[in-house]
Amino acid sequence: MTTKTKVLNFVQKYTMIIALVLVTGFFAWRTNGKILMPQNITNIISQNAYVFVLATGMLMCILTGGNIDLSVGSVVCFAGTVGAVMMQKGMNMWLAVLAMLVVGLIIGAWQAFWIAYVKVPPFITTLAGMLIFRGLSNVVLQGKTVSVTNAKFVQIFGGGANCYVPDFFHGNGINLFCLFVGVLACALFLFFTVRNYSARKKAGLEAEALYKVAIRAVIIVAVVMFFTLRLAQYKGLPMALLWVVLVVLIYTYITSKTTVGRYLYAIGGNEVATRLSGINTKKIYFLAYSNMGLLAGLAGILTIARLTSAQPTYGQSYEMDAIGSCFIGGASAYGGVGTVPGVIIGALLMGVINIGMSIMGVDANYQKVVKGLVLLAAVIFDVVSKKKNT
Amino acid sequence: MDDRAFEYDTAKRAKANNLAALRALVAAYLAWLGFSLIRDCVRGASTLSPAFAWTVGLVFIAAALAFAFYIWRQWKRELAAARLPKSEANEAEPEP
Repeated sequence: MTTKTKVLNFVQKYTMIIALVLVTGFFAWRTNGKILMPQNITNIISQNAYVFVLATGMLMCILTGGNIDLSVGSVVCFAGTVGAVMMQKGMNMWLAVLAMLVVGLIIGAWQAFWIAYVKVPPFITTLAGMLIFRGLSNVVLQGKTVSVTNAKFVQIFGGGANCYVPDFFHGNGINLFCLFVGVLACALFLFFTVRNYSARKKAGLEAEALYKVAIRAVIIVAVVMFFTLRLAQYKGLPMALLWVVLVVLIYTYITSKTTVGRYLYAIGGNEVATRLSGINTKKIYFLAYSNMGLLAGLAGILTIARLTSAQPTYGQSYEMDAIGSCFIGGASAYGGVGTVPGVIIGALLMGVINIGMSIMGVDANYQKVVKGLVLLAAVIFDVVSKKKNT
Repeated sequence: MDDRAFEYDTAKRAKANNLAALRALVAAYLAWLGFSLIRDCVRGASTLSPAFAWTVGLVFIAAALAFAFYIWRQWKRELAAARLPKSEANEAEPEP
């Protein structure tokens, strides 16, 4: 294999990561490094937590066969509305949180019923859901804003000035607990990398060259420690990050290590064969869409905590942010559209662009232009990759 | 969710349908972005210069339409590639 071919293969395999690095570098230059300041790193995570959560759920739906859920933005708004109104009336915070998750799950299950058992196309069902639940949000809120004043709720779910994990080690000028978590995460990552590599070698399976594994591991550890240090220099780990990490870990495990995850991929690959092999495909569709509703409920919680209010306009275009992240994260020929890490990278790319433009003071209309250009670039790359592969 | 599986390699057809659906959504989003730029300009709610807003909006809409055409053509090609030859299709027919 020539050097040129090797380089091209490398670029194709890691396109989105390279794009993320280049875009971050561009904004670091244009903002004189401000985007890499601790507070802005924190903002990237806090302001885009809903995208990570929704994109993960959207991936489950897309895996079943290119199906999507257009109602997530409206469900975020409606679930958030229900919770905000409950807390305004003095109800217990945890009851309100449970209610928001249950509302999201019930909406997801309701839509899942029509999709899985009545065979209404997902596009139609979720489009109807988008309109219904946006309308219901307006009915409940009557066009007004409901404030969320429960300080504990806001702190736990990532809003306000104190929505960070406390420093249990009482560092002086730097959050030691945050550093400890970063080091622990890197240690666990290295442990699993080494263990997986050794297991493959022992089983006689094909494994990447050791130097490639080592270089990749070193780069990942360096990036994680850089971000951890930045967060530690500000106020530590944002609570929103904990929820995102929890969701990502759970769903990475589900998609890669459980039979339900395998069934999702199987249905997306060949639904007829999956059904004929005895798997209840209707149940899997039902689970995928119910799960999307549940995650939309969680995104609703994170949204109203961050914005400390519920408004009828919240959640607009959230579904397109999630779908855009899935497409951008999977636009490389290597990744396809099928992995949680790919989706997270897509969401991070959108998040960095949003924050970078805000720091630069770019007008909202110009931000739309940039978003469109990013999508266009992903589309062109998709077309060009396809041409090269045929 | 179609049961005419015996005419096509279902795995290839499913992949073709999946990709076409996702790409179509992206094309729709791109078109919507272009439309919203022009709409805001017409309503006087945009800070962009009219020439710039119209140019970019039309470019996005044109790109979305071109991509939509590409998606349709690619989907047709992939479906044709997924079609089973007659002998295989006969073998694949379920026994009564």
